[in-house]
Amino acid sequence: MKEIRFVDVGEGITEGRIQKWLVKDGESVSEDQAVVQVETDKAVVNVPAPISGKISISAKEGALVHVGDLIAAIGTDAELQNASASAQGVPQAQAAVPTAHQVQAAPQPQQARAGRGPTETIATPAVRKLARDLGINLLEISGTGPGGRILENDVRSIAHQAAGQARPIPKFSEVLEESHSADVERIPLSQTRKAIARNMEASWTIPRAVHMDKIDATALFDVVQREKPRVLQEMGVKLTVLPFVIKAVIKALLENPNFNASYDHEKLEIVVKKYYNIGLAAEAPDGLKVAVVKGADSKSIIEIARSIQELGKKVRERTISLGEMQDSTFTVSNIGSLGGGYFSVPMINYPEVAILGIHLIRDEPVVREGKIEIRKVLPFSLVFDHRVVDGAEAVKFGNALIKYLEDPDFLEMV
Amino acid sequence: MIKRVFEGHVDYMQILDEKGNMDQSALPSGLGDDAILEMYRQMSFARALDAKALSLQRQGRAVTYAPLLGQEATQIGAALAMRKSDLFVPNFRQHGVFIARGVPLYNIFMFWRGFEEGNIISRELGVFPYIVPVSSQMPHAAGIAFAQKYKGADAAVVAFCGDGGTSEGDFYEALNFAGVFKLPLVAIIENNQWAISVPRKNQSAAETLAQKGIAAGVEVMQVDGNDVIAVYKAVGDAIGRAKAGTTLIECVTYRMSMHTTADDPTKYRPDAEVEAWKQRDPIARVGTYLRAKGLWDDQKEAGMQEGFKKTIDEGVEKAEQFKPDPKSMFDNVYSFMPQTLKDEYDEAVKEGFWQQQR
Amino acid sequence: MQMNMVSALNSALDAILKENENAVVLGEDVGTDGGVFRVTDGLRSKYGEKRVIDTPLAESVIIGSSIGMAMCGMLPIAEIQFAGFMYMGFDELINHAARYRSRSRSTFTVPMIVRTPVSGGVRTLEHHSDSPEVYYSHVGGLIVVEPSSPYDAKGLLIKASRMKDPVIFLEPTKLYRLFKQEVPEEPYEVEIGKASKVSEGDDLAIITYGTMVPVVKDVVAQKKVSAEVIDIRTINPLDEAAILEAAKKTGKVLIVHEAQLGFGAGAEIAARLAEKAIFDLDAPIMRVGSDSLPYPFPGYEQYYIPNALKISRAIDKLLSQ
Repeated sequence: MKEIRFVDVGEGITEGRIQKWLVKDGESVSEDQAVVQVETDKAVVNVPAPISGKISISAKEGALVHVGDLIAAIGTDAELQNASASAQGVPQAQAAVPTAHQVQAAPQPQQARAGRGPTETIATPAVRKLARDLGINLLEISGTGPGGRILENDVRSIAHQAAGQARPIPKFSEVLEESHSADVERIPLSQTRKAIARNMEASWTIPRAVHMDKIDATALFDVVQREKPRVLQEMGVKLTVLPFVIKAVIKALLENPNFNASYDHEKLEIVVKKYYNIGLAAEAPDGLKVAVVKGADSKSIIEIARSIQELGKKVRERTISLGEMQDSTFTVSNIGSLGGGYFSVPMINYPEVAILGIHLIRDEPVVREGKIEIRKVLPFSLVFDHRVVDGAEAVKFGNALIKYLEDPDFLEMV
Repeated sequence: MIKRVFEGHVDYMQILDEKGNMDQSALPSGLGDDAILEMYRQMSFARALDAKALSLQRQGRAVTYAPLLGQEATQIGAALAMRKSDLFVPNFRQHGVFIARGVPLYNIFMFWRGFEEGNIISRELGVFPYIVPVSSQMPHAAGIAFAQKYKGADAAVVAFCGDGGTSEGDFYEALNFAGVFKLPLVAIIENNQWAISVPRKNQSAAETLAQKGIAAGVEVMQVDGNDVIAVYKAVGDAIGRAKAGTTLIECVTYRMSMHTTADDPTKYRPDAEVEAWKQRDPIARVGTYLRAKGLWDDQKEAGMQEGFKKTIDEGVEKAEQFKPDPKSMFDNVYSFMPQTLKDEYDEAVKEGFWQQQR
Repeated sequence: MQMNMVSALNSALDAILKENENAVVLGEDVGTDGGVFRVTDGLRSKYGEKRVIDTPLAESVIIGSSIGMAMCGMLPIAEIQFAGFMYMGFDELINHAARYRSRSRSTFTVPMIVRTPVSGGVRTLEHHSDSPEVYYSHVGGLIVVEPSSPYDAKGLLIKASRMKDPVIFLEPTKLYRLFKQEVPEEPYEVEIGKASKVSEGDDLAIITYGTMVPVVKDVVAQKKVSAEVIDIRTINPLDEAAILEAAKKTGKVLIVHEAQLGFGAGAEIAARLAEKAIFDLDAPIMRVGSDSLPYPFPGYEQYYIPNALKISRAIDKLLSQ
């Protein structure tokens, strides 16, 4: 037995109307004989019999039929009888278009878009992926890129910190007793303060050690006092001890290149820099700033002094640019300029290897050639990344500073 | 001064008229009774195939189909005039030529069932695949003819287009090109009077379509396209002189059926016109001729039709057993597999996009 | 031997005609005249009018008859005088040249080459300066090649002649005589579907082809920027691997072509990068193309073709991201 179902007879036909049966129900028909006329949107078509036999008509004249609908069956008497007995439910029409029942619901996104919401963050897909991979929430990072964009380094330094923390810091709300909540004032961090905090957290990941010593700065002090008025008058530059210290630092760095370097914790390499940009930690009205004397190795002491003077002015006037605060290779913290300190321990300016703290020059009794003399003494602290350099190298570096600064004439010569 | 620099004319040929009267003087020598019987059989087979394909389409067992009903003489006359070495370039309706040239029914049904595998036609048969965009096959035919001449092959190219096809630029470009290079091309206009719903008179103001060849400088001829003997002779003559150049033959016939199964000609075509052309049926007149000569009768007819049914059913069955493999789509784009295309295939396989369909 | 692109192409055609006796060159003015750009110069006197054929002025049949010849064992190398006239044969390329292999399951194949001059910069009349590469790339089955140097031009054309596929061979008129280069006199192949690395660099990748290759090279040299410059050479099929590699290496990608920006090859390249390399990118993908308007008359073309400044600005913008 064969069924006659209405098919798409003309390129996209979905339905038709039974116009006229050309044979009677129960009549014998032959293969390919036209048995029914169906009218569609496009044409009246004759539908033929697929085989020879008796026809059993199921769609009435005038009936609307859809593609896939059964309209007749052809076969022997017995076949047709069996079929009608079992055809209580007319077979489901076959849809012309494949159904999409196999299409499943979409899975939940693996992670909601990091950092999208009321406080927007800006980051490239590469950085977003890195943050996802490292489990970092971009909302908790303020970017250092243009327009506050979060850069790869921002994510890495946060990740680095997180990795350095043995235990997670307890939630702030857990450590501040609620009973005091009325007695405190909450001050939001300024952008500068945030940046300082972030840098300090990064710095804290460095396993550090400190080397401290004193410099007999009597001769240096004399030179500065002697030359100060002339330099000011002729060059308009205020001469201090600091440019001499920087010059000596450059000499010490050239002799100890591992101090002008960074530690690459990913590749486990020491990145030694062949350029010498000396950062100067300075106190600005809105917090700590590091101004950078670029290419300090090619500058004279007077030129260094002029750079310091100009940078200091910009820091005070808050006109210093981002570029003038970036890319230092070694930092000097002039604690003495703040009016005190003896042996303090400054934080390394991440990702540098070391920082030199210099303190107030004071008159101190010093034993020289068996006699006690009152001398000008400059105490210093060299804080260094112990992954990169060892104590012996630190002492060597410190002794180089002493050598050059105790003999400023020699320093100017070399 | 005005002087006539050119004068042209188109000859019309008919050998066997509607009533079955043969113009014996024009009958090609060597065309004996057996050959005419063979013409009758081939035309009848084409008609049987056509009816079956239409029936299959109405049952949903074929996609759109373009019937040839009424055009059997043009197709079989041309096909039988061709030598084995000659080549055939169709448009989309020359199933009659296909079967006469020995293309398996499997190929024809596969094409109309919607599978490219239908076009895997043995190159030995000298038959090129169906071409759907109207007249765009004519430049190919010119190139194929060019290649025959280039290689010094003893082969002519017979190419078909319709009356609507003569309005296409490609028709003229190809004919002009063939004329310039004197290519061994026999271009046949199968003028069935209708381009879907647009009648012949709306295609061209020219009195004949054959005369379009005069502008291209090729030989021209108009024949009764429902007279298989005339078509046979005209095409045979053109092939005979193909080495010297191109011939354009307009076969005047009639599309008794729809353009394709997606079309309904009753919407635009008067029944009277169809009735008039029924009187000029290409098969009936040969039947009349053969019966008058005592070469044919009802019994022979019934036997022949039974044989056709068996052959056709076998072809249909084979084509219906075909299971498509989507990989074949990817394997036959270039002579190599570009990585980007391979990636698309691999993804479909990996994701199982085709499971439901297969 | 030092050759410009015209002589390199001429040398390639000579080699092909010599190597393959079924190869013919056909088109308008390719014979006695040697082509309007002289690419086929001297070939007719060497190989005769049977093999170097002046056709009627009819692009559709030049391409269509080539398809017929190709299916019969010949290797037609058709020249369309200018890309702007090739649209007359577009149907034959898209409907037939691209499809025959597929629609006959490789029973009928179409090994042929259609050469045509493309792009502007040489002050030609209207319709003579189009960059149509994308039209022909948007159909599977055609290969679209566009060399930017004499060496590549010869090697790619010879390679095309030995493939069994229809190849659209686009020749930038601006580069025909722009510079000479050492080109071997004997035949050699340059792989089709393979990009070439014009320069190595780390800061950004520049994906380009055709007329823009020398412009990009100049800009990169002047700016002293470290750029990985890729000449894709084949528009379709695209050497996706080379593009992804350059993107992953540098994290920043600029795509440069002379063709109009909208829906250009750059869009396809950018889309592939977005799908497959976005997590390696640290800046948005940028494109430089000509403005999305019809190719102007020669008096205006200097305002239209992407120039060094436009490319330079795009590099600055990308590097500041």
